[in-house]
Amino acid sequence: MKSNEANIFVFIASVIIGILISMNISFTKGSTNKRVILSAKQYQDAYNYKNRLQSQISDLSEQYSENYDKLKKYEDNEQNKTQVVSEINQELNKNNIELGKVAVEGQGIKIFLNDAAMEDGLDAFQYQMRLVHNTDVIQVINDLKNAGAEAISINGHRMVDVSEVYCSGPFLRVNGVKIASPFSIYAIGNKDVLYNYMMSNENYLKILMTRKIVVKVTKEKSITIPAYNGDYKVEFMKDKE
Amino acid sequence: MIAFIGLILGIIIGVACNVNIPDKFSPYMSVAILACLDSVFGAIKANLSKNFQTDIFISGFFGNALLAAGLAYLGDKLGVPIYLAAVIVFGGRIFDNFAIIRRLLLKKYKPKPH
Repeated sequence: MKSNEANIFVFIASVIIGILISMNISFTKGSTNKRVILSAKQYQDAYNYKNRLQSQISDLSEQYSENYDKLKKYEDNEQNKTQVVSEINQELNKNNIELGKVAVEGQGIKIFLNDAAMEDGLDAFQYQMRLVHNTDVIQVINDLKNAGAEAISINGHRMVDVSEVYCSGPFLRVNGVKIASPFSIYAIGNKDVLYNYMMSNENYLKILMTRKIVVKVTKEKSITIPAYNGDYKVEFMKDKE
Repeated sequence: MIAFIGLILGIIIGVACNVNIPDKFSPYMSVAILACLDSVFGAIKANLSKNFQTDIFISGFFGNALLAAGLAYLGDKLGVPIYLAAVIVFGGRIFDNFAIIRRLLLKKYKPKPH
């Protein structure tokens, strides 16, 4: 009797296992869920890729909820016009700061560049090497941007996306204004990061130093960078919408 | 013997029903199947050595399967392959049980010396 009962249970259990196995293996459509064999390295890569995508998704959903909240606020405050206007102004101000139309202030570094002292008996090449050229200033500004500078000015002229640094005989032309050496370049950003980056051996200031050009970099707790006072000429480009 | 018949019958039913488990649960299911198999082997062994207990068998059958699947799921979430523990333990026990079953069966059918 006991053995019989056991047999029945074992039979039922094996039927269940059989069903489970066949459900798992799925003989019918083997092509759809083909197993991909990955090496440990490939698996790791795929796993990292998955994690990256997931973090991107979470970032995007965060952004979405932020924008959704903003939209909601606008819709809710439809009567309360002043608040909407003030918020729009805030955003406009933020955009102006990013565009460089507002004077800004913050920690950063100051770079002082001056032509090297001239001595007698220099040939033409050596003479040229001792001058600060427009290319030098462009390189320095590129390095600053690469180091994460948020706002840059040269001798009081704010660098924006339409600013030029152009050779103009003995002068440089910046934002349409001719400036002469010495040049004071101010940059707002994390002052330690900027300083260390600019003074590292791979960067352009070292080359300038080897050319005997006067280079002085100082960290500043607070520097002020004026607004861009030129115009943005928009003639050909249009809003694509 | 009865186990084999049941297994084949189950596979036939499963194929006939043509129900597929989503790919997502497939790995957990595999571990659960291993746990079930272990229970069945245990039951056969107990049956042969005449100490089969229904309640122990049923609780082990479902409990082990759920625990194994749950561990595999937890391991997946934690990034630690805990399912390996289930595979090793149940795999080892299946072989142990099979060894005992073999001995019991051989002893049973061995011609007795006269």
